[in-house]
Amino acid sequence: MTVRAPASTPPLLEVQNITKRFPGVVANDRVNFTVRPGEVHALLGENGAGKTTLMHMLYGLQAPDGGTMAVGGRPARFRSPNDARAAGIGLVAQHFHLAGRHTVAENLALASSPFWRPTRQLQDRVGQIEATYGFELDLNARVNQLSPGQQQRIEIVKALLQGAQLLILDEPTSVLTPQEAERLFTVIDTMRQDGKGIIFISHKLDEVMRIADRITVLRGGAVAGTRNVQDTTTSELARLMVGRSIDTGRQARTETAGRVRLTVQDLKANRASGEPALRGVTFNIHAGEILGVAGVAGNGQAELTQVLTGLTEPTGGSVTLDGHNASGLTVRELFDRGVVHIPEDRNHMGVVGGMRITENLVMRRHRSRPFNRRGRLDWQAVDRHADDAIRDYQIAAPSKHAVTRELSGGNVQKVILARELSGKPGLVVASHPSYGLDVAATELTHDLLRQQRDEGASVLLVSEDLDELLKLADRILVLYQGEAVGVVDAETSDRETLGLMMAGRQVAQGASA
Amino acid sequence: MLPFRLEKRGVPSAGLIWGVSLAAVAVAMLLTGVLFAFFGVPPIEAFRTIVERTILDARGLSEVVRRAIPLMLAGVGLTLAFRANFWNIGAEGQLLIGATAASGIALFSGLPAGAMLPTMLLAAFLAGAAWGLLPALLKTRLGVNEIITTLMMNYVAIYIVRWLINGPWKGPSLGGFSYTERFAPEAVLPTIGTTRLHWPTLLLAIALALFVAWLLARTRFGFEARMMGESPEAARYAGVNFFKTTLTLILVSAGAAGLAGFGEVAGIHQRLVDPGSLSLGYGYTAIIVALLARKNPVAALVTALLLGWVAASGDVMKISLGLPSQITGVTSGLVLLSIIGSEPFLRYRLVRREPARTPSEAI
Repeated sequence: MTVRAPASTPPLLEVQNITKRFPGVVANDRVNFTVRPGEVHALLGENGAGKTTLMHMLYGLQAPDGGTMAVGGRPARFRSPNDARAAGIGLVAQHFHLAGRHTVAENLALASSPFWRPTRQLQDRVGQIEATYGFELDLNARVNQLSPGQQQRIEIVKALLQGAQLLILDEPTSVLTPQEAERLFTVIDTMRQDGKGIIFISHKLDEVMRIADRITVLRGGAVAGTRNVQDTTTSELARLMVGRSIDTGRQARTETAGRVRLTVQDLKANRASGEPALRGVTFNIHAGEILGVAGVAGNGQAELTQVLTGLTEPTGGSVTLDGHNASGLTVRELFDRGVVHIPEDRNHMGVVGGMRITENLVMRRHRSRPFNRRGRLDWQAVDRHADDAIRDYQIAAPSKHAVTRELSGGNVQKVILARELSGKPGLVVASHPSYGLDVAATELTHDLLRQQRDEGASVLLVSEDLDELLKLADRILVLYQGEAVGVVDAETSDRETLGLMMAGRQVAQGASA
Repeated sequence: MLPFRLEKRGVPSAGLIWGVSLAAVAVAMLLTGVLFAFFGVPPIEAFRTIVERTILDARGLSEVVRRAIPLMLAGVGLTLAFRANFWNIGAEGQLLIGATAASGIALFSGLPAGAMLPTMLLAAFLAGAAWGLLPALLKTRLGVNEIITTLMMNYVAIYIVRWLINGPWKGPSLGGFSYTERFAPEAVLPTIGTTRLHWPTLLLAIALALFVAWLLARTRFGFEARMMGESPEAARYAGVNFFKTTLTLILVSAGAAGLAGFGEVAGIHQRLVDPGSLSLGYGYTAIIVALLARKNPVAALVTALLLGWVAASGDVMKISLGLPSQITGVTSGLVLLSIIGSEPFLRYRLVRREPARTPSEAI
């Protein structure tokens, strides 16, 4: 049913060999893709595959280091989002850029109206768009009283008012209910028939198959493949997305796991906003075992680590640690029972950037001897501890008294690992422990986690890097929308299976859809 | 594009902090000079007169220190609260309530001479602390912004004092005047010679500054309070008990302001007087003292002297220069503005931009 423009018209957007490097990482590596008028082109990829960087370059937020872009056949070079908008490119960001206390009309006027009497003519122009796309906006409603779906429509209208011919939708369904998503797809269909181009950024296989004409899969910053939707399957896309299983270099545990250390039963927890994030998750971890947790970001992993480490109170279910009830304990009580935490946000939660390395190496341990002597801190003991940790973990620091903010990412992680793993923990909760680290620091992190397992600790390893999970974990729990899709044996599992489970498919162990 | 760009610094050195702070004060003085000029007083002349009558004159100097004492006590307390990211704007009210409690003991307790002053001191400390307790509870238990609650508590304190001196505590022997009876001699602090310098309170302020510095640097409580201030998220992760730590720090911080109130009634006025003449906004100026000291309790002793000098020079302006003494308020405000404005110089340095190599810098 797709209405395609004649092949002779130039593509709305043509990207050739576009490359973007950040220190230590190539975020986009010679990426090619085109968007034709009347086409929905999906960009599919895991987190960190380079979707966001590509989007930023298309919208003028970042300048490419190499390659060319052409809009409507003419070379384009954007220095700012204004340039991109002038070229007819619009962006509907995942998190909306709206002034919540102002009316819809005011928000729209802010985007596209003359300086004097900005809301004049708005009614007419919005009316045309409403008529074309078959939805209604209440111009006088305040934005913060509208649902996410309605707010998204404001963003779409905003882009259309600015004359967008090519719309970038960044993970547009992530904030929508299924019903709202359906309505969005109707709007996208209409835009397609209207000859507009859509770039649909997503990591959800099903919806990409449902709405896109062509799909470009990004993996590790490079294009893994471009497919017409009628020539491909979700399995093929999942494989392209996660890559072929290579030799993961896994080192199986030396002995079979010991007794059950942690039992999680029907665990429920809410996000900070109050909506449910965990909807009844059950699993256990043995002593001497690494349990991997896989899932696309935002499916409950963060809340799971927060509940297990005491940062969030569960709303239901139970946590049993070493045979004792451990639900609802505070951070301190859990830490004292041997639960250590390598947090996801290492710079803001894992360390205090403005405090010294010595201080960061003892925080959480500063309450017990030898550092705490009846309320007074023994700084000599703290310094000695820092000397040991800096030597044992090879922390590259200008001085042990330097502030932690001055350290590189890898060394910040070493500070955290040194602190958390130094006291013979029982349960290690590690959240994306190698995210953003270089190869050497990643290796060290992996070795340390394996070492903890071999010494009898239980490790809960949350990661979006399937290779990391397959390499380190003994079993892998897959979370989808706050529920456990299943637990698979890492030895006999592969990326494809995990990829499908991460999309919510129940997959029999070992089978591939 | 400008040929310079801002680069983040590491930890600013002590020298840099002093240099930038002095420069900030100099800018404030320069702007005050402009203000003098608007009033038709030559700025150099005005500053010379002020310095002569305050710093170079023994009695004037004693007035500077006298005014610095409440600023020291309240300001040192505020450095502790500010370090933990508790924005106590309520030192004024805590000071007034401390003064009220001390006055209550002085007027109605009938304690023997030896116990009188220590009891007044303790009462002032506890009353000030109690005044800070409510905002602390509201913040830790209900997440109510402490800036608003501590500020509002100031007005409650002001009206309590006004009500007392116009009503139940109004001295019967004073006719129409709205203040209490004079304290008995045993409830009055000794002063140096004929000056109004109540020296025991000065010693108390110095001891308090050293105590708070020790708390912050050497104790588990101070470590956790600093962690809370630097990064609440990391403090939560580290298992810091926000409730207990906040309550402890407000006890010291607001209690210190209460002590300042004790000094004013027992050292200067010797009775509970109208809030306007009792405090002269010491509780608010103490915020400037703490911020100018970059939240360092010992440095707050020095900055309190500076702001004490600004306050004392108000008298000189009025008497010798015929200027409205309210200019001191403007000067204090200018000092605060220039400290806040100088913050980026501590965190960033200007560096010459290297020639752009890649287009990626043009983000």
